[in-house]
Amino acid sequence: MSAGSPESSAASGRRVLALVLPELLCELLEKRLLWGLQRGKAKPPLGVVLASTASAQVAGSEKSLDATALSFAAVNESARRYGVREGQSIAEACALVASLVVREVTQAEVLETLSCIAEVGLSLGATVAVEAPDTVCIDITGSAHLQGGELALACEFANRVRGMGHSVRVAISDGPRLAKAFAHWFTPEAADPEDRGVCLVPSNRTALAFSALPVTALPLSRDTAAWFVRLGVFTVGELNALPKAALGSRLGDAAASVSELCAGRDRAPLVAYTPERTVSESSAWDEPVTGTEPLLFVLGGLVSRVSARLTGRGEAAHSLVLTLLYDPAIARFRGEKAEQVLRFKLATPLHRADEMRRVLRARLARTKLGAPSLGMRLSVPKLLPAVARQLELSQVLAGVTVSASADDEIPVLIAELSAELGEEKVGTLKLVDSHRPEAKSKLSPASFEPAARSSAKQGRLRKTEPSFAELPGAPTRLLSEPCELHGPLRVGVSLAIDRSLYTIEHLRFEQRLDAVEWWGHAPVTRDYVRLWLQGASGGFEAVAFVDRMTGRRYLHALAD
Amino acid sequence: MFAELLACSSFSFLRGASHPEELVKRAKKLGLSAIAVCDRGGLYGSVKAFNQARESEQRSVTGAELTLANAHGRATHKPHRAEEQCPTLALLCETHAGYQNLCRLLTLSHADRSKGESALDLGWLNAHSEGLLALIPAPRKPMDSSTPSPEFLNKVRAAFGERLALVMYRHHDGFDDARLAWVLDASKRYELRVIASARPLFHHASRKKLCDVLHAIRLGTTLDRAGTLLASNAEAYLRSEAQMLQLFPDHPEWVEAAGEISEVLRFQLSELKYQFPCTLEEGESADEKLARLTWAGLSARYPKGAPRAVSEQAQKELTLIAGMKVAPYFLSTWEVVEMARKRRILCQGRGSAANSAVCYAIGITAVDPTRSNLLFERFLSVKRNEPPDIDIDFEHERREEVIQDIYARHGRERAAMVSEVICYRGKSALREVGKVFGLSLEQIARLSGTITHRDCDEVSSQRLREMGFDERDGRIRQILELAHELDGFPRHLSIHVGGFVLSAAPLYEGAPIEPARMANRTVVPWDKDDIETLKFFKIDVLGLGMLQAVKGQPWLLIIGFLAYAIAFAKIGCLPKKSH
Repeated sequence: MSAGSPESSAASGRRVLALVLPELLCELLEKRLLWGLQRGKAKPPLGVVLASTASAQVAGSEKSLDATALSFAAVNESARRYGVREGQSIAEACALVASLVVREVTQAEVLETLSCIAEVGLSLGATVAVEAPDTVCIDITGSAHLQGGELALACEFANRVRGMGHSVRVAISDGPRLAKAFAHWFTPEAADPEDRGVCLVPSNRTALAFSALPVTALPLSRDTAAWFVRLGVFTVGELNALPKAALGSRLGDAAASVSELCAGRDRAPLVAYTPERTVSESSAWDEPVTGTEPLLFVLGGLVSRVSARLTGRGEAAHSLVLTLLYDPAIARFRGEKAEQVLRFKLATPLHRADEMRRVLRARLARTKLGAPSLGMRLSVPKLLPAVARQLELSQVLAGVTVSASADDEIPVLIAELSAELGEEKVGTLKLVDSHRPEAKSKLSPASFEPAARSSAKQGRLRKTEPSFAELPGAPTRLLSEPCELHGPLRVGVSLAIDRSLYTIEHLRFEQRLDAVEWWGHAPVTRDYVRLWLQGASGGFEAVAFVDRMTGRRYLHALAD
Repeated sequence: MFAELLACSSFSFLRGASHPEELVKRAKKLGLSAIAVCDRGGLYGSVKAFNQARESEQRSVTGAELTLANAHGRATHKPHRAEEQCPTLALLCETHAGYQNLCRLLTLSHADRSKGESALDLGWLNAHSEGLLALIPAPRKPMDSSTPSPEFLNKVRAAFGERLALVMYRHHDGFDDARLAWVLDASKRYELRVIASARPLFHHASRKKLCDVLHAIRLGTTLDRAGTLLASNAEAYLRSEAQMLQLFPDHPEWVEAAGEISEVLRFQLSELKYQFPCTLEEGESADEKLARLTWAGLSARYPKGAPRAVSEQAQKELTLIAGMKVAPYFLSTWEVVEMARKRRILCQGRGSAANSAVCYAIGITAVDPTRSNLLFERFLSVKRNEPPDIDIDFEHERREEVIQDIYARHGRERAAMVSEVICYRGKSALREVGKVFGLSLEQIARLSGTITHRDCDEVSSQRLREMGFDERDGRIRQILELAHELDGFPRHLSIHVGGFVLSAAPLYEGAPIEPARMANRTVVPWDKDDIETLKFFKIDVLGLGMLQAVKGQPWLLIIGFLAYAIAFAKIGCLPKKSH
C-alpha cells in the first residue's frame, strides 16, 4: 500500500498515526486469567462482554451475566474457530461452544489501557488522542523525522506497545479517521514487505487507497453498512461511484463526512490526552495464586507497561509501590490485611524496564504471601524528569545504542540492595559533627539526585572543630552497641569480653563528655578512658567509658 | 594561693556565660588571691569587675586578651568563623604605665577596623610592653591555627622578657595531653614560666547550658547543628586552689606560680587620674576663669545689677565648685555651648543644671534659679561627691555638627563618646534562645506573645497551652528558662545617645578608644555607670526636635515665649505651698 517517500507525504499536510488494538478486550481478560502462564497450551474459547463501570463491580463471573440480553464485544481466535462472532448473544455463543469462557470487561479498564498506550506515544508526537474502544492516535506532523521517518516512528511505537503485551495494527494517513480505517482494514499480506506491517499511506494516494477499503471502514452504522453490502456495494470505491444525490439521501447526516473521507480528506480534530501525574498499572486474576512465581511473571508485564509509559512521558520513577491484593476472605481468616504494600525508594530515578525489574524482583521473590493473591498493582507515586543517558560516540558508531556505565549501574545496584536488605540497611555513610562517638556517622538514604549533591557541597563549607574522632589514635572500630564491662577500670583488673579474659595493662583518661546535647532527650555524661587490654591470644587497645549517671562501665570502641 | 588570671566574662560578648560581678563574687567565695577578668579584645568588663572587687574586698587584676592579626593582617577575633581562630595574648597590668600601654595597644588594635574587630600587631609590643605581664594561653588544639608560631613566641619573648608566662589549662576535652606536651616543649625551648589556669568561661558549671546557647548565637547556628563547636563538657568553670591542685597533680607548682605572679599585678583602676580639659589664659586658674565668666554673665543677665539672692547663690556655687575641683567641667560645657552658638545652633541646658546660678550666668541654661527657687544640691553636692551632670539639648538635625566640632577641638585622642551596653531583655532574649533551639520565626513570635516585658520566668502552663504550645515539651521549658537566664546579658556595645568623655591628657592613657559603627565616631568601651565608677566626667550632647521646630517656625518661638512667660508668671503668683 505504501508508495512515495515519507518525507514527501509529511510535507503535504497533517499526518496522523493510528494504532488499533484489535484484540484488546481479549488481551485484558487473558491477562486477568493469567493465561500467559500457560505457555504452549491452546487457549480456551473466550467471549468478552463490554460493560459499564457500575455493572463491572458486581460482575465477577459468567453466572451473573444476562445470557440473552448481552452480546459479545470481542471473541478470541479459539472461539472464532467455533463460529462465535462479535455481536452474538451469550446464549447464542454458548449454544455453539458449551465451554466458552465469558467474562466482562469494563469500559474503565479499556480506557485505562488505552491511556497507558497513549502515554507511550506522548514522546512521539505533538498530540495524542484516545479513541475508544480500541484506538490511539498521534499527530506526528513535523515530528516523524526525529525518529528517522514515519515508518521508523510507527515501528518504534508498535514495538513498544507489543512489549506491553498487545497485538497492534498501525497506519499513518492524513487524518485520524482515515488512519484508523486503514489500521483496521488494511491487509498486511497485501502491504509492502518493506513497511514491516505498517500501513503507510502517502497523502497523494490517500483517496485511492481508501477506495479499496470495505464499506464498513466508513463511519456508518452497522445496519447501513450491512445494507450496502446486501446491495453488492462492498468497497468504499464502489460506494463513491454511486450517484451523489441518491447516496446523500441514504446516508443522511453522515453524507458530508463520508464524501470527505472518500475524497481522501479528513479534518477531524484530535482531542489531546492529558496523562495523570501518577502512573499505575495493575493486573487481576480470578484464580488465587499462592506462590511468587506467577507473581514474578505478572510483574514483568506490569513493569514493561509502566516503563513504556514513563519513557513516553520522558519521566522516571522516584519511588515504586507494589501492592499485592489478597483474597479478602482468606486474608481475614488468617488475620492478614487484604493487601500488602511493598515500597521501594529508589536511589536514583529509574524508567527502564530491566532496571526496575531488577529492583522489584529481588524483594518480591522473598516476600511471603499472607494469603492467596488475586491481583497486583504497580504504581509510581512520585515522578521526576528522566535524565537522558549520554551515548558514547564510539559505541554509537559501532552500532551499540544502549550502554550502561558503572556510574549508571551503582544507583540501580543500591536500589536493588535496598529492596533486598531493607532501606534502613543500605545508604551512604555521612559524617556528622557531634561529640558522641556513636553519632559521628550516620547512614543516610543513598541519593544520586542533583539536589542532594548541592546540599552536600553546602555541608562541606562548614568547618567543624575537631573532637573525639580527630584525637590522636582515634578509635577505628566502634561497637554497634557498647559492651558492658563488669569490673572496675583499674590497671591489673581482669575483664571478660566476648567469652575471653583480658587484663588492663595500661589506662589513661581521655575525655569527658558532660551535658552533651543537654537539650535532647538523652544527654550524654561519660568519662572516656583508653585501655590496653592483654589477653591470652594477644592484646589490643580499646576505648571504654564510665557512665557518670549510673557508674556503669562500657567498652565502646577498638583502636587497631 | 592560687589566682585565676584568665577569666572570660559575659563582656567578651557571646563567649563568657557569667557576669564580671559573678566571677569576682565566686572568686571571693573560693578564696582566690586574685582574679583577672580578661575579656576578649577590650576592657569591657573590667570596670564592673573592679567595682565588685572593691565591694567584695577581692583583689582584681585588670587585663585583656588580645587576638593576633593573621598572616593577612585581617581582624581575627571576629568569632563567627572557627577556622579563623588565631593565637591570643593576654596582657595584665602591673603598673599604671602598664595600664596606659594596654589602653594604647587596644586602641591600636581597634583602629582602622570595623566595630567589634581587633587585631594585635606584634610590632607594637616592643614600644608598649612596659608595666604589662603577658600570658600566652595554650592552644585549644595544638597544631591548629590557634597555636602560637615560633615567630610569635620569639617576638613576645623579646618584648616582655621575664614578664611572660605560658598558661596551661585542662578542660578534659581530649586535647589535654597534647596541650601539655606543647606547653612543656615551648616552656623548655623559650625558657618560659608556666602557670595554671582554669580558663573559665563561667563562674559555675551550671552555666554550661547558657554558654552553649551564647556560642550558638555567636556562631549563628542552632544547638542541633552546632555539634563540636560547643564545649564537650562543663569543665570551663572557675575553680578553687584545691580543685586546681586536683586538676594538676603532676604540676602543682604551676598552680602556685599563678598566685605568685599575681602579686606583681598591683594596678587598680582607682589609680586613674582623670583631668577635664579646658582652655585657660596664662596665669588664670580654672576657678578664676569660671568666676570671671559667671560675674560677667550675671552683669549681662541683670543690666541693672544682679539681685542679692542671685549673687549670693552664685558665690556659694563657685565656692562649692572650687572645693570639688570641677570648674574645668563647667568651662568645657560652656565652650561646647559657645561652639554651638557661633554656628547659630539653638541649644539649652536642662535637667538639674537648671538649678545652678552659675550655669544660668554663663549661658548654659536660661532659667533663673533664684526665681524658680530650685534646690542647687540636687545638681551638685559635696555629700554625694559625684561629678556634675549637665545635659544640653541641641537642634537635633545639627547635633552632629556639634559632635564633630568637639572632636575637632579636642582631637580624637582626647574626646570620645560613651558606649551603651545593649543587653538581652525579655523578648529579645526569648527570640534569640528560640532561634538557637530551632523554633520557626512564627513560633518564636507566638512564644514572645506569652510574656510581657521581663517576665519569661513566669509563663504559666495554661498560657503556653493557650498559645498553642505543649508545655510538656522539654524544649519549650528550657527555652523559657534560658531566656530568663540570658536576660541582662550584654549583646554588643552601642553608642550612648549623646554622652561625651573629654580628657585633658590623651584619652587612650585612661581608656581604650574604639571606632563606632557610625562614621566619624569613636567611643570608650564603657557605659555611663562605668564612667561614673571611674569618676570620669561626661557631657551629654543631646538632640531635641522642638528646638529645630522652634527655629524653623519663628511664630512657634513667639507662642512658646508667651506660654513660657505666662506659665512662669502664674507660678510666681501662686502661693508657695503649691510649688
